[in-house]
Amino acid sequence: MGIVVDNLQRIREECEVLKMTDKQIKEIMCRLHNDLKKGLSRADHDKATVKCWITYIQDLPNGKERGKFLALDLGGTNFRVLIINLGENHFDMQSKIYAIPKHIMTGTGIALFDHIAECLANFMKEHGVYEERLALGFTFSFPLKQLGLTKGVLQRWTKGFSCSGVVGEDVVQGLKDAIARRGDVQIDICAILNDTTGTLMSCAWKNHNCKIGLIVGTGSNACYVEKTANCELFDGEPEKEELLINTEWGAFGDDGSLDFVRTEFDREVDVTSINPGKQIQEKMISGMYLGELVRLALVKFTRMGLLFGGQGSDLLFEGGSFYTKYVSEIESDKPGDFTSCMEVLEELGLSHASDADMAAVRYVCECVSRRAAHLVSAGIATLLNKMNEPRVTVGIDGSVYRFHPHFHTLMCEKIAQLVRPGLQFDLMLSEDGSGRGAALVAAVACREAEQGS
Amino acid sequence: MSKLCKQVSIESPGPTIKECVFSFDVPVPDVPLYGARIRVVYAGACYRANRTRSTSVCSTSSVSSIGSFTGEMDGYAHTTIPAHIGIRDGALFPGYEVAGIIDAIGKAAERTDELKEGARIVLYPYEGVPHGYAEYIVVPDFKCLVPIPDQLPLSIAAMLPTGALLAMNTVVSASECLKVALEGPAKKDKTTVLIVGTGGLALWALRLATYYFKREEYNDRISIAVATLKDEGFLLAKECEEVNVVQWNEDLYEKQLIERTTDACGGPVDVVLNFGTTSRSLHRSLQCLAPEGVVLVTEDVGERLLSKFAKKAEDLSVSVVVVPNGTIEQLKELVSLVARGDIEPPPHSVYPAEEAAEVVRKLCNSEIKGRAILKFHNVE
Repeated sequence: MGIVVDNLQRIREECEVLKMTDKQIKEIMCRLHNDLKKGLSRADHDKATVKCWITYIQDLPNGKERGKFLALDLGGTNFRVLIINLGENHFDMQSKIYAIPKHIMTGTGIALFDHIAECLANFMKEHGVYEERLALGFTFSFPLKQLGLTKGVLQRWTKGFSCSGVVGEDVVQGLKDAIARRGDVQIDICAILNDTTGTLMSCAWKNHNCKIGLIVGTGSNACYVEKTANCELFDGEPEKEELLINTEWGAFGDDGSLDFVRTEFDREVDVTSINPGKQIQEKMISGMYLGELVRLALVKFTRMGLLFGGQGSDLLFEGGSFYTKYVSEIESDKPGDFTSCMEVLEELGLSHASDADMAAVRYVCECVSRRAAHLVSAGIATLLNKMNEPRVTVGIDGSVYRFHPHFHTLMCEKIAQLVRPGLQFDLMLSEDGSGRGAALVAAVACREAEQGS
Repeated sequence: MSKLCKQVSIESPGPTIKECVFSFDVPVPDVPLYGARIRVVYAGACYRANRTRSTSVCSTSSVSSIGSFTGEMDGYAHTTIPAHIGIRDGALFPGYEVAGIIDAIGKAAERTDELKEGARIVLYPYEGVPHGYAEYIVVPDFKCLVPIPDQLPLSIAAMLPTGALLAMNTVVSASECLKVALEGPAKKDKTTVLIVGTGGLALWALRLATYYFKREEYNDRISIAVATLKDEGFLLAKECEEVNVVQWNEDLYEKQLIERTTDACGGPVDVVLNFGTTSRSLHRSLQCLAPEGVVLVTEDVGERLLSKFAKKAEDLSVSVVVVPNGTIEQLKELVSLVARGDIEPPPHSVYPAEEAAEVVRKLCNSEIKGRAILKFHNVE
């Protein structure tokens, strides 16, 4: 039985590469801070990896937003169409989820927008607004260069999408064209926003200290309230002091600045992804990749003879088979209990796993999820230090944050260690970001349009 | 007497798909006194439900390897489900499906007009069916033979004895549960039925459910939804109009999938026809149910999972009901429904029996659209 203990010990040693020291984390924060500044500056923006796009949103919700709005939510887990009614201190919302089959995710842009428009039309029919001309907020969760509240150019696809003819084009126009092609429904103003923006706006509607919106889900990104003066690329009126910035920090590390903490597993995930060399930080944090990182480690240890008696299964060796939800399920077991772990391993054809194997699998999951939580925490702490506000609420959404049993706690602990003394923060689960948040942005767009004309 | 014919046995696939299909030569069996010998023309690709250690007829050279292998298989069959998509989805399921021609009839058997030498038949899977599909098999009892009308091709008939039959019995059970929901104390206005899986079983169930519910007076109070595990399933299921399709992408979290399902169905569902075979899909189905809802599962799934989920079902105020294989009367009804064209069979492909191993591998990976049929003889 000495051999068995040695295996677990050796696996722990092998997993040391997944741990970041405080020194390394501080170095990461330093590099991220510099990259944020580069993104905001006119001189360095084009070459910057962290783009810090202007969202053109300068007002957080004031509670006076009113009206009926439609919303679309594309880029998260579900494609959703929503209808929101903003009232005094209350709102009601109805939504429907529509499937996006893989062939549409990877086909032409025209097919994608036609599908979106069809779902929108069906929804409007079902909710009795088919004949109405409402304003719409489009939560579009991909790297977007906004040229205004109602115009945004797709920089690249992420998270498994790859529709042709959309990169470099105005997404709002793509949607408008598809709606025009149908000739049935009509939309008034169409605001476009990122899911982090929606998260922040939705949270800020409830909590006025909310100044950061964070997503840890299929992808990872953050937006925050910056001083207009710092945003050299802003070409609008300077009177308003604040401006919401979409960092697109998923691309942090694309220039190699994270290589000093990356492992062979990260490199393997990157090389076999649909976008190699891009979204490097995101690939260390988000749901699309966490499970795969664990799987690659398990494969390595199996081949070394340290796990499962050296015997894997067809599924273990198949890319993408270790779902990120398994990580959450395995870590939800009480310490010493391996019920969920055993079920997961059975699903993977690894029912011959021993207790020591299961302890090792759990350990690998913990290392990967902890590293993700620490990276996110480093990012949030960097933003908090940069903003230097005494009290900030961080609105958070995303499946990894929502469903992982310890992510929230890990983040609270780590951010507290890294943030400048005297700065207070708290983390709040933001709900309905793509619904309420999108409606709030659409309301702002309508207000501006009225004032403008 | 020592004439030989080919036999193909498909055992339950293990963790790696290799070597669960065995082909060997067996003697052509003698005709039993009260039974008949059948020339197998087509066989539905199913695996043998593993209840007892295999002592099947086989050539001596293969005995030792089969013996040890099935010993291993016994251990697996009772505790875990093989980890293949096709098995999870119901593309490959246990059963025995034979369509063929009566080759010879036993001296003491009760002949009828329909059942004589040369008649086209399917076999109702009785207790103790042969352990494999051989070119010639014998049935001890004439009564388990069901004649096939001329207009029904044998290749299609081969899909009926297990797959379609099980689906039919499940739909019948679902119908009864719905009656309770619609006419019983709850007197629900609208009910939803969710079919899980897009393998052969689920595809039959979708067609049968659509057919039977249309004939009920409360047809407009029942809506059908299909949960598909693969994208192709999405396209397949869309062929039936008025059916909601929910994508069960396995990479999503359970709560997300449940939300997606209840969203697509306009609320929690009343009956789930669960042809998925994993603990996970059963657990998920349970959580999609409205109070008093029912999940219907097949016998092999029920055997493995019923006790595990009894408490959970009780906590949720729902129930898991095991649906046995259908009756021979149901099989006869199925034959006439399909022969008349009232029910369209799901997509299916025919493969030579020699390719059985490759076919099983493809089914395990859900690479075949709909059912796979093995062809033994060139008869039609």
